[in-house]
Amino acid sequence: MNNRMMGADTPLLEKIRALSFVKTELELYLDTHPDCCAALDYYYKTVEELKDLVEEYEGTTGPLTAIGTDTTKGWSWVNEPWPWQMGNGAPNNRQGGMN
Amino acid sequence: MWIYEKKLQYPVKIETPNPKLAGMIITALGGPDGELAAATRYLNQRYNMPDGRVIGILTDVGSEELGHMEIVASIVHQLTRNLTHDEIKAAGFDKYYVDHGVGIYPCSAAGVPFDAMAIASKGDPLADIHEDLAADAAITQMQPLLKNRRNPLKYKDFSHFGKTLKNRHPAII
Repeated sequence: MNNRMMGADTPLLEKIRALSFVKTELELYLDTHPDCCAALDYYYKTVEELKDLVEEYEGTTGPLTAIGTDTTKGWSWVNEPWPWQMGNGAPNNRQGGMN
Repeated sequence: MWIYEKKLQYPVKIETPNPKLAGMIITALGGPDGELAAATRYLNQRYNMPDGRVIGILTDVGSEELGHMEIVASIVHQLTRNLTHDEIKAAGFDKYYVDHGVGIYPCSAAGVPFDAMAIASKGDPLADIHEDLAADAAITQMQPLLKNRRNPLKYKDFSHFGKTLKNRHPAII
């Protein structure tokens, strides 16, 4: 169970997370500097790289968004782990603390 | 993590402003049975659900509710455009207006600010799913009350939106 739960939080996901953060920060910058050519160029490159990484992740691990689900393999969108079930290998206490 | 899409889930194009109706419909955003309550309950109830499928439906429905907040806010916004002070007073919209202008503020029709006391999240899957059903029943009660009010708004669009609201919940169980 622990191996499966940790399976999705791979180095590839960490790369996607980092690059997504760059993308988000660039968006915030561009919102107030929409004509900045350097930022536009950086954004384009970031998004291109991110698209490739997301494609690789969804092909090997599972969907990042519902629309990225490979329906030829069923509705894997609902497969665990969900984001808060990843890492530390700590099993989800499925019944809640009181039970 | 969320991604914003620059579109309404269902288009809102209201030709005739109607501040009286706006003062009622605002409860569908921030009232006890509004979209903010719905999104808040579903997204926060996910963490102790015992099955990926239930987590999935709460994630997707909860995300959709965020989109519904935007639709209701758009309705209220368009209903309160280009108003004169006399129109605001005559419609009884003055109490809302003095506090919030024509800003979108999540509150009930009675002006009570959104309160998370309207929802439950107990860490108990059965308790939470029953709470979701109760919330759904409350929404189906609210919709005809809003729709039956006499007013010059063309209801076609709003009633269609109401149907999507009404129909979405059965999927949760």
